Amino acid sequence: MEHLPLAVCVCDSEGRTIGFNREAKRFFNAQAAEREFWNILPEADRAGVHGSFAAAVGEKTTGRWTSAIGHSPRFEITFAPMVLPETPAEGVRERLWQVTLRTLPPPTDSHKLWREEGTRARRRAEQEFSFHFQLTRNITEQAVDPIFVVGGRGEIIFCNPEAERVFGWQREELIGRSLHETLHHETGEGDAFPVQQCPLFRAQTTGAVVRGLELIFFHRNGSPIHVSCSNSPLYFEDEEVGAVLIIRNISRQKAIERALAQSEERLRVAVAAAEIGTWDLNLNTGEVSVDEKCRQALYLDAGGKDLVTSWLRAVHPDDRNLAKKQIEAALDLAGDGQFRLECRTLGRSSRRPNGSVHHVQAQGQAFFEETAAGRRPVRLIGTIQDVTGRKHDEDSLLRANNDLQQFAYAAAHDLQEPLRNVVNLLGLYKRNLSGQSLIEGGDLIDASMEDARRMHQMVRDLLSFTNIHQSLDSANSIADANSVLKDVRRNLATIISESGAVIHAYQLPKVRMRPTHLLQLLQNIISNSLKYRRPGLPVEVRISARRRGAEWLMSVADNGIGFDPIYAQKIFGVFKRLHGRAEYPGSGIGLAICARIVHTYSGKIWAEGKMGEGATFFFTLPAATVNGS
Amino acid sequence: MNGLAAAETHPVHVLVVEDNEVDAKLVRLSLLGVSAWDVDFERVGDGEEAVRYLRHQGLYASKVHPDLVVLDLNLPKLDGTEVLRTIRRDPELRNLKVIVLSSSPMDVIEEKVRDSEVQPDCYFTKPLGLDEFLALGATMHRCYLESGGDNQTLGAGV
Repeated sequence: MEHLPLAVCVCDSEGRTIGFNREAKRFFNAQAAEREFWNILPEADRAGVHGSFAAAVGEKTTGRWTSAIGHSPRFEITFAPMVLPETPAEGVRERLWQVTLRTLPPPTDSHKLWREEGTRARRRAEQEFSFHFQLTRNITEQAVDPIFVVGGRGEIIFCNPEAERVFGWQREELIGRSLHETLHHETGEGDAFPVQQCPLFRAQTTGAVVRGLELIFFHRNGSPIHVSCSNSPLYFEDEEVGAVLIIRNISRQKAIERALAQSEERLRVAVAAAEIGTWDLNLNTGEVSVDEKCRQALYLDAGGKDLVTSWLRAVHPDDRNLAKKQIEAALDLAGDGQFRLECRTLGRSSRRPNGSVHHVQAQGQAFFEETAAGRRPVRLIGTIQDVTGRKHDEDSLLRANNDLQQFAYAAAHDLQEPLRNVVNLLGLYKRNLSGQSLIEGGDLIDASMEDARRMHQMVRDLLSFTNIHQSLDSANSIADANSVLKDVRRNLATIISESGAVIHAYQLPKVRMRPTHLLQLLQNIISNSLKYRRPGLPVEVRISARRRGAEWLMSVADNGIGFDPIYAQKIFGVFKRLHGRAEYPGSGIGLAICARIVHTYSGKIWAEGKMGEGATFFFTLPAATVNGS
Repeated sequence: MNGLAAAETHPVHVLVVEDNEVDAKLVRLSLLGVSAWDVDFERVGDGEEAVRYLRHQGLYASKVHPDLVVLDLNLPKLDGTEVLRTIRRDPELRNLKVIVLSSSPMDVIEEKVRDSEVQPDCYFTKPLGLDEFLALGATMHRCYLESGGDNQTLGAGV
């Protein structure tokens, strides 16, 4: 006992001990816990210590008691309220006191000197205590985060003003209550939250350290508050007496996160619905980041490095200069940074069969940085969209308009001609009957009947021309050109055998179209070859096909009279003819029908020829299969 | 130039460019019906032949040069407007009198003429009905005179 170091214990305001340090445990003894600490002291000192302590508690200040001389060993006891800045309301028992016991040396000659030194040391300690008290008080009072101190049973023994504000309670109401049951009683889903399951409670009662634990607390009015908790055990001397809990209110941050996530989700849905891809070019590093849709639009392989080059390679050769020019224009320091490009792209990777041409529309915005060295572009960001479908729609609309115009012209002009002829021929016939003969000859009736028949034929031709559109819905059927050609041979059998024509055709493909359309197409072209033959020369027709990407390029070549190349376009017009009717009969709609059929399937048709050297008709049709033949 | 000696005159040579035989006959009848007018006729059936005729190519080397062309617009091969453009842009042919006669309505003819960027002397829609067609002869005659043509013409064709 002579050399006992400082013994310290914590007690409540009734003097009942709550905790001891190692030395105090030794000094008092284990069985002494939860008893008034003076009862452990020598009998003679008990009343005195009790009285001094009660006085200190009454005045809420530090107190001291020194044992009577003659005792051995002599000791001194000091009482100090715990470093808890606010004095609890009257009647609240959970006020803690620190009780420090030290032994005193026996009185000697140097006793006076010792006492003076002891007084100085005590004053220093008191100043230090006062400083720390103020510091702690300021920190907790001014803190922008709620701070709680809880005892070993999870009860609140302290909270700061911010805690009052955030959770809507008064400090006096909170002290002594269970933190969990008061502020953390439900899960975020509105279910009861038993304290046994609470990770924070577990940490507080096991002395674990917790950082940034995200939980949902509740305001007094029941509204949830997202919080991030940091909890650390509170030691007094070596004894754990509770835990300090610092809470960060992250409701606002959570709300922003939620709003951001929602708005990102909305944007993602909108972008996905609009089939828009996005890309982002970092001009400092040359790196491009693209999303999946953009990859699809440009059918880049995943993980490409130099995407600008890859992208330009994907652009149709005829459009590459335009693409480069548009990028340069967007990065022009004097410009507004706007980027806009509509171009064709080419199949390059495994994502699409080679040779298929797609139309894409890209737009973006360049961002510039002002540096000491001047303005420079740092970023080009934008969207890309595959507009092939729309482009096809536009094209077919354009063609439909053109067809309508041709149709209207044909109705207004070409159909009038035979009608006028009939009227005029009958007029001449009438004059003949009345003796005012203007023209000799009795074939006026035959001629007018011929014109009436011709008009009838033209009306029928026009109907079959306009009908082609209405069959578009069956574009998924497959036509085998070999069997269709057999039908053509059968239909034209008479004229083929009369003219001694030979039709050469090798392995012909299957194409994605209605067989009746392919029949009309081939039959019209082959009929032309048979009709416009060179006198004295047996007709030879060669039909061949070549795969071009997703299409077949077919050709029908003959050894007939050919045509002047300047009329290569005109011959596909409705009722357009290169020859007088007397020379070669026909209304002139055959090739117009061919063109309309090919265009219906998004193909192209053209003719090459020379006067007297035969003609070749080319047309493209969609292949029945995606790969190979 | 009226009043010149008969020996020095010849009829007005008309080239009818028309693929429709009935129309060609009616043009001829309607012009012959104008008593004050001495005309003779040649006819070709498409635009290409018309240009060949006017330039005296091939079969047409010895044909007389026409004083008046009655030109249909909707022709096989070269269109009437293309023939008209060829005439107006050829220094040798530029001053030829050209009357466009088409079955298209007037507004369509006007549009086509405007698109061709050259002008005929007159243009008419072929009327529906024989009498109306025959009456067109006098109108074409008046047009021919108003644009500086004579009833009879001096000198032989080139």
